[in-house]
Amino acid sequence: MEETKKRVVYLDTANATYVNREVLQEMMPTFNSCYGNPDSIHSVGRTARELVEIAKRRIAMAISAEPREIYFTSGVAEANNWAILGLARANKSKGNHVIVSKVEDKSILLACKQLEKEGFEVSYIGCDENGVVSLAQLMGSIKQNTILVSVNVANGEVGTIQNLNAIARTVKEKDIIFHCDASWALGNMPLDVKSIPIDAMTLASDNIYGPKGVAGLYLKKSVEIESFILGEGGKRPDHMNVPAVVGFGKAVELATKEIMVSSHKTKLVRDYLYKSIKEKIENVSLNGHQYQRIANNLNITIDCVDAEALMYMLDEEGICASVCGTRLEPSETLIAMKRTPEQIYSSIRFTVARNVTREDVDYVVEKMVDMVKKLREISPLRKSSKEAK
Amino acid sequence: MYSKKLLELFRDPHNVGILQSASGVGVYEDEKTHEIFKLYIKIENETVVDASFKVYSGVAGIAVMSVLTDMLKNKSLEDAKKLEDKQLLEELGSLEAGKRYLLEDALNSVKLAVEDYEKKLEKESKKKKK
Repeated sequence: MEETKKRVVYLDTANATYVNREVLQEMMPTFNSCYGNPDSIHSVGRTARELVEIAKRRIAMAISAEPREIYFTSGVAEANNWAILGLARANKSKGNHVIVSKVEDKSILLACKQLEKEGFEVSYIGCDENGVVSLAQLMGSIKQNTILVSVNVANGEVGTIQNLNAIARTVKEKDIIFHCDASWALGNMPLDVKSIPIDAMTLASDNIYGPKGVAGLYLKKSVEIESFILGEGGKRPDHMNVPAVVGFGKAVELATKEIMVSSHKTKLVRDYLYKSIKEKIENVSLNGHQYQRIANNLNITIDCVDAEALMYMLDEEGICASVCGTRLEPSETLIAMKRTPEQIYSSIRFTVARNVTREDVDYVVEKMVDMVKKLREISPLRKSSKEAK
Repeated sequence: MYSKKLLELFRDPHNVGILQSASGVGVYEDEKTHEIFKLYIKIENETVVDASFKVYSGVAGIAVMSVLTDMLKNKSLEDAKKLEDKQLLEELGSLEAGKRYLLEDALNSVKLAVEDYEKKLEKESKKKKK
């Protein structure tokens, strides 16, 4: 007897996406026919090198950079670590002060902790209740010895888009290196390093329907960076993961080519999800900026409901969502946004995949209504009519 | 990752809700994680005859309280006071190390519920004496 296939509604693209079919097609030959090491001088190596160069050109074109300004890493954490540690260390002779926002990815915040151990001074700037990084606080934090500022393009947890242009220009006016983490922005909004003065930018593959195990760092050619991995072969040594690099290049090309259409389509589904939840479930509030947010992100607080428990219940019905942080390590972003502990632990993130339909949303919300009711009955935060008496 | 048994208890927890005839109620809030454990116990002849709970916690917290309330039933008050985290863990089957603080949290709610019951008893006996 054929087993019935379980319905899956994927609302966790911030963590990973499926690999686009066209991306996969480009990757396939690199496993068995174009398998060379791009650093080898023989023909098989040169073929692999050409594929890597195509990927670089595609990514460079998408952000108005030059191909030689694109470096590949093993993932976003490595790219962010490299940017923070490598840029600060290489420019230590000019100063030892670094500024980052409190709503950065953990890979940036932890790299900053490492810099502090090495004698650097790090200023962590806050944000407003919508997650928008304070430009005034940033300006007030800049000192004579500031060498590096890093602020995300869009926050991955709550989706808020930062005032990138204003931040970058403020930083560059003072001749300070500016890095931005565009991991969640790429494919959701246009990025242009020519019109905005950006020195370094982290780019992700696995949330734009590209493969895992690869990410990119755009690095302006005039900017000095210390190598993060020691070995033979340029600023970022080691044998390149050619299949992943090729897939990443294609994924960036596709994501940026159809950006306006696909992000608008995703936004409509995301907005429908929020509207439906608000209509069917009371005491739900949005985390992040209402309008200044990336198209696929919906982060909400459902009062009195433990988000981890809800996430597991949703999973049992084939609905994939995510919770940012844990009870022991709560979300730094939501803390910076001055959410109460109850709000933080009752917050769940949905990041809509391209293939999610309005019918899928109806299914999700229908299931959620019962789950929320059940969890609220269990919750002591919710006073029942019996208790109220 | 949670065990099959724990997930079953999470899916279908026992003894959820308010116990209207409770003799003692204990509310423990973990200061660090802000999880809240509310335990209701009904005591007759120094024995826990019924127990129920409400909890603001995740999958493991719900399962732990389900197991705890089952274990409390028909236990003498003295034995209930002596319950240890290892007994809870044994009944639960397994729980990842990072979540074991929940056992202690749940047992703190027992302590507070018993204290509440004993305070009520004391109050009543003072009233009678007057």
